[in-house]
Amino acid sequence: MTNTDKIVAAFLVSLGLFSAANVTKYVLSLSGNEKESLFSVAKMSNSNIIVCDGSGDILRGNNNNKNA
Amino acid sequence: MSASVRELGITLGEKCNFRCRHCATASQAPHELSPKEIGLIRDTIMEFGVKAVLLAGGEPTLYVAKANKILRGLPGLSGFRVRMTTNGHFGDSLGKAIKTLKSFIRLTSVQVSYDRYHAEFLPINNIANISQACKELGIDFSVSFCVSNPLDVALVAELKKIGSFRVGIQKVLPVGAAARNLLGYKHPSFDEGVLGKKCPRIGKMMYLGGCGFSVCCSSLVLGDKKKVFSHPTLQGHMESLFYRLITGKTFKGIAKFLKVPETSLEPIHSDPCTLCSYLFLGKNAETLFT
Repeated sequence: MTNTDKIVAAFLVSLGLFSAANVTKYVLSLSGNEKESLFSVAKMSNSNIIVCDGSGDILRGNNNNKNA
Repeated sequence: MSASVRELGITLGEKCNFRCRHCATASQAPHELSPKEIGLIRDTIMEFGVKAVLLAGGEPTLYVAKANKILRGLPGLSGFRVRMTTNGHFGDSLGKAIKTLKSFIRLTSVQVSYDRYHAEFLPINNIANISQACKELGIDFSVSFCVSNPLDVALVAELKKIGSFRVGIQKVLPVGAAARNLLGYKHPSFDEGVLGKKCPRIGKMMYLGGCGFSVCCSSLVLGDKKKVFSHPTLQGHMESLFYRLITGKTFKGIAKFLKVPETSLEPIHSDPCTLCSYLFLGKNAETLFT
């Protein structure tokens, strides 16, 4: 896996969309454009992209970023 | 009564001015809270010392009067956390967004649902207007973003261009319109890790209009045709076998209790909510929950 692949894989696992066991196969199946589109989201600094549970409640993430 | 409820969610009504293809509640019979239900909810909030409320629907901004009837005059309201999930339809201008938000007698947090399905109805500029309105009114703001497959996440980049707010990623559950349209998130294989988990909503409760109180806000109660997983009173729900199981056991323990073999589990059951509805709506559970 390239560094881009690893970053995309880690990002997808952190969002709960894949387990560590099956993310590699998925990332290696992506086209270059698909990988790049996910990579561009993954590398956003201070992205505040977090996981919700089934009800939409936030499970974990960065500190509360009230718009102030 | 002990204050053991961290948040009470309330479905104010089922009306919505969008027709999202993935909507979990799209199949629900039209209902809006009756005066009796509003009284029951208020009594329950006071009896259980609830200090946090979630306003949901349908589209809750279509039911401002009902929301205010529930909240008005509650002891200690100025200390309540009041969250709302909304489709953001009112955000076509900053002025309209501010006016709509101020029409609620209390709001501390707004979560707009936006993803490729809501985007068919909602201009992204509405998100910017509501985010700005929340900033001016001192209301916390975030976006809830549903995905049917991992590539949907790429759309988050567009959201991030208009503001640095939290975006919560949520997998589309195969319920309601999402089930009909085959838009549920497709897991590549069954993730055994889900068996070690418990219901993610423990400590929170929901009042579903026309049904009753339940810890569940999702797959199980929305598929519960016999209405056995919600109860007319919160106390009744907390004394039920279902509640004792869902709070006391992991999903592995529940599967064992209901004698559901783990070998029957499929990739779709990798999500706690989908697994839960599979276990409790299955044949093995029928004799226990009637």
